[in-house]
Amino acid sequence: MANQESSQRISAKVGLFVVIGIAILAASILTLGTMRKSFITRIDANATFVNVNGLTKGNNVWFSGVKVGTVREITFTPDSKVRVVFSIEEESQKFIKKDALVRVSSDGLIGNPIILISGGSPNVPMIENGHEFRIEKEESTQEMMKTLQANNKNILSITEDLKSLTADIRAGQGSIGKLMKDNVMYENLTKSLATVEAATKDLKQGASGLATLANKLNTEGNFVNSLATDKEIYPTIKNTISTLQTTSDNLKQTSLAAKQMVDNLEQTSKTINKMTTNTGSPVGVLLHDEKTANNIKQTISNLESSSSKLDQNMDALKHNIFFRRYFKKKTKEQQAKKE
Amino acid sequence: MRSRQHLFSPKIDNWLIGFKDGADFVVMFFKETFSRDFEFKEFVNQCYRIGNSSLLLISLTGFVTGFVFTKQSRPSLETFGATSWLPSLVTIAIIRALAPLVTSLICAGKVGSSIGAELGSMKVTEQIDAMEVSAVNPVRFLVVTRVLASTVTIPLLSFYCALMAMAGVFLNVSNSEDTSFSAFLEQAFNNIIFLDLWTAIIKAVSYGFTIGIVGCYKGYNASNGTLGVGKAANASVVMSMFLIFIEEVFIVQVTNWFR
Repeated sequence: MANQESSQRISAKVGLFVVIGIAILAASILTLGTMRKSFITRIDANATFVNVNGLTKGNNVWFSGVKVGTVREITFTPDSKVRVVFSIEEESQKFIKKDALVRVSSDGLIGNPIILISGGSPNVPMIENGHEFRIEKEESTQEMMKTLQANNKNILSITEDLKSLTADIRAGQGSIGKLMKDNVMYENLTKSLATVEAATKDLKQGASGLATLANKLNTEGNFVNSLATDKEIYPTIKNTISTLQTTSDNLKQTSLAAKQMVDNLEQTSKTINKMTTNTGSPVGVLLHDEKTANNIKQTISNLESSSSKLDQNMDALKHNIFFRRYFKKKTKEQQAKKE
Repeated sequence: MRSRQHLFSPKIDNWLIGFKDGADFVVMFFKETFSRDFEFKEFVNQCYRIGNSSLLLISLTGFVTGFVFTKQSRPSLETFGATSWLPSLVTIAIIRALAPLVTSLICAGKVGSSIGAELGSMKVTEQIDAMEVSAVNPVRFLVVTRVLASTVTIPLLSFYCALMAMAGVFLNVSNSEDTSFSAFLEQAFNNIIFLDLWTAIIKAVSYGFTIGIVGCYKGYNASNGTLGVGKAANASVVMSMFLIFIEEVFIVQVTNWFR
């Protein structure tokens, strides 16, 4: 009996240990999740807001989109503002500068309120325990709604303009409206497009021809290809061009001389013309005065007659005894020169 | 003056002794599980009984759960114009929590009570004693096979329940939003990660083990004739359900460490 009682006590003790063991295990599992964060060293920081938009103890603190801490305490100040104390992990402390700003924001569009730390200059020292953050201008929902309202008005204005524009187009006004409604314009445009298309085809063909030409030019043995690539022919061409240049210069000088000669001839022609037209000059008298012309004709006739008679006289002189010797001597000298 | 024969009081002592017996029973189960001569045929037989008996009930319950849960969640999401999130939201809820929980609660009622009553009746009619006399290890033959069968079968039933629940979700979403099947699958499994499946498996295995071990323990320790059989069956269901909810809390806590 005593043994049975003792055995029951032992069983009860074992049961107690089992219960305690299970309780410890359960407590460990339930608390370990939050305990993990308990071992992290933190510093406290403060900020005083006009409105915290439903921020509560335990809400997150973000810096550059990363969770760096949690809200620890929210209290009212004597001037009816809200003082928020939040803890920041020591690991993140060095990245948050003293001139950084805080504001109450939201985790997503309909998410929990959070404290958002932003900004900070690299050359400013990092925050310390008990740092009082400056507040960034808070954009309340009302301000957002105001901005949205302004946007709505702009959109309304734009849609009204679009409505007016489409009405004009429908009515056939303006360039686009005429294009859509006016058949003549449409046909003209169609013709223009056809012309452009034809021109494009021609251009295409031209380009194709050019391409073929270029291919041919690139073919070895071709004249132009030889010109472009043969090193021996180049000096010859250069000399030829130089000779052509000299010839061209000579021709230019000749041309100038010819021009001068033509000018002189023209001048002479003008002078002659002037002389012939002037009835007072000897040539003019000769050309225009009939009496003088008759006199001259008579003179010439007399001269012809005199000349004929002079020939006869000269023949007579050859046979004259005083001059015969001279003429014979002259004939002999001429024959000697010929030989 | 308190009697020295009790540690605290007779009631508290008995409650503590019950804990100790339960722990002993679990230890005995593991010892027999890893011993030789595993009753594989009986294990398969128990798997078939547990799975087959619960299949129809789980099909219906799973389908209704998915359908109703979707229907109930819609008004809340409609407030934000986010009904397109319904498939994703409900799928996460089903995979992570609903499917294992609903399956195990149904099995606790159907399988747990069945095991408790069966082993209880065997105990009060001294069939278990007879097995011991005839050199058959009753723990190995009756307990190990049933506990392992429920541990293996309930995860399978749990995934089947999830499948039926998804069918219910699709029916509701398809009727309301004309969502195609491929679009529904795309939305539904977009946010499911491997850890969600592991969570579901861990839960289902734990619940299956709990249902089996509690049913066997209560049945194996039944006394007082037919009255004891009824009590064992009833206690199996109540204790299993209670432990399932307790385990749910701890498993969620543990799996959340890895998220």
